[in-house]
Amino acid sequence: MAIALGDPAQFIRDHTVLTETPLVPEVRLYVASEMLPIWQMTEDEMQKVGLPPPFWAFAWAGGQALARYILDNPELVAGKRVLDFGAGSGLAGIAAMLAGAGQVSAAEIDPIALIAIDLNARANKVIVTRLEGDIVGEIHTGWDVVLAADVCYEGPASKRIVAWLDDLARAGMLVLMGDPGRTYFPKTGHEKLISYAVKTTTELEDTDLRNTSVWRVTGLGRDGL
Amino acid sequence: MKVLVPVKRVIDYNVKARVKADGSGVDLANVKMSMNPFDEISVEQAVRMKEAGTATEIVIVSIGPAAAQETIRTALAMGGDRGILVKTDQTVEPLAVAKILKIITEQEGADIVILGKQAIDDDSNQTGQMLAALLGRSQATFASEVKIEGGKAEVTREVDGGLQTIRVNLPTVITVDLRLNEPRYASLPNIMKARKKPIDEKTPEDYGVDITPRLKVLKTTEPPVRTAGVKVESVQELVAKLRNEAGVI
Repeated sequence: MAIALGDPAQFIRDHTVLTETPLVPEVRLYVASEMLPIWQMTEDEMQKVGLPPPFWAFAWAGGQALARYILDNPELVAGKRVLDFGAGSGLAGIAAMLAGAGQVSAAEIDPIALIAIDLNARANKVIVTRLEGDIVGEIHTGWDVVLAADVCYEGPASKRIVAWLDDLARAGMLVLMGDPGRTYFPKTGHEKLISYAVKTTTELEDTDLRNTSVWRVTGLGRDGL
Repeated sequence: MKVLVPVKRVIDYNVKARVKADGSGVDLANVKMSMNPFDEISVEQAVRMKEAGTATEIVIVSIGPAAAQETIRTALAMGGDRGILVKTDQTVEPLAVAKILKIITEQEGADIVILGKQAIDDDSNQTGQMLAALLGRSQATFASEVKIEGGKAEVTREVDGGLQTIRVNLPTVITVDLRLNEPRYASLPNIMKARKKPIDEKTPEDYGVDITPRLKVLKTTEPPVRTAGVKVESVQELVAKLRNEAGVI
């Protein structure tokens, strides 16, 4: 079966399955599965149909941990304005809405991810505002809480993002990160709040359980940054 | 056992190459680029060695422009563990590549370097041999079969007269031929996983290697255009033409 992008929302519904998230069964997401042709798509085929790498089609370990923590500690976001940065599937932001956040904005540079976020939000009966583009560097006063899950996997990009998250923390926002120990996740500048063993697939992470932590960014700066 | 796999970003094998108007080389503007097909075979070989438990880590190296990072990602999606991009926008000739690879091989402590026998853009067929010489290691070129056993590699080579099987001591340098294997296509989860694998960024200066070209390209020309054929009326006419015009009988 040939895969064509066409209408992105229809594409997402056709090529993913609404699935319970392992660590966060309260949230269901449209994710890729090995039962579907999209799982076998090659880089060439993705390029041909104009599909950027679909980070939104997987519930990454960092997002699952962060979502779990927020749902278990709803007072952190209740009534607050929340930014879900590099939202991917929108998992962390959706969890924040379910935990009683006043409003959630999900920021993504991938326009198709934003469509997936909208579908995912609706599937969980919440509304998430979408923010398209690279917002790193913007010091916005409109947020109380900033969520960033699994954003440190590319060297140069991680540096920019982490420096900006530090600035946001210094500006008084509560900045929470979820990370399973990705290569470019900094060693200092945050305190660990909790750790989870997150169920993932070996095809994504080489192991079926990843020890993943939720961190609060202190804003006190970091070694080597 | 650590395996180093160098990969080169080249003009895609499906693209019809056009020579630049001034004859200085092939026009690469807006042309599809991909991994050298021989390098795909060497990546596949390394991944199979890892799956078989022979290799423990696969390090992918590419020397070239920033876009070579994409080529590394492709190799990581096939099963490489991490990447090293040696970034330069200059032309890098086989000797300079071999010098950089020598240092990386030593720094990484790689037991086996597996590389394509040649790249389809310049068809030099030099890097592997130069690398083995610089490292003072054994070399097994044009491999169509590789077996690793007891600190040795048994390699079947494609030579003019047929196949030759040799046994070399590890550490070694292996260059691969077309028939060694059929490279896999990375599927979506592996492509996604590859995006989260680390790639170190270096420059030739980091390795203290002078990459100034030593070769001078005098000219580049298109292959001759095929001329139209003629129809012959009879066997006699065909024989006459073959004898008198083509001079082949």
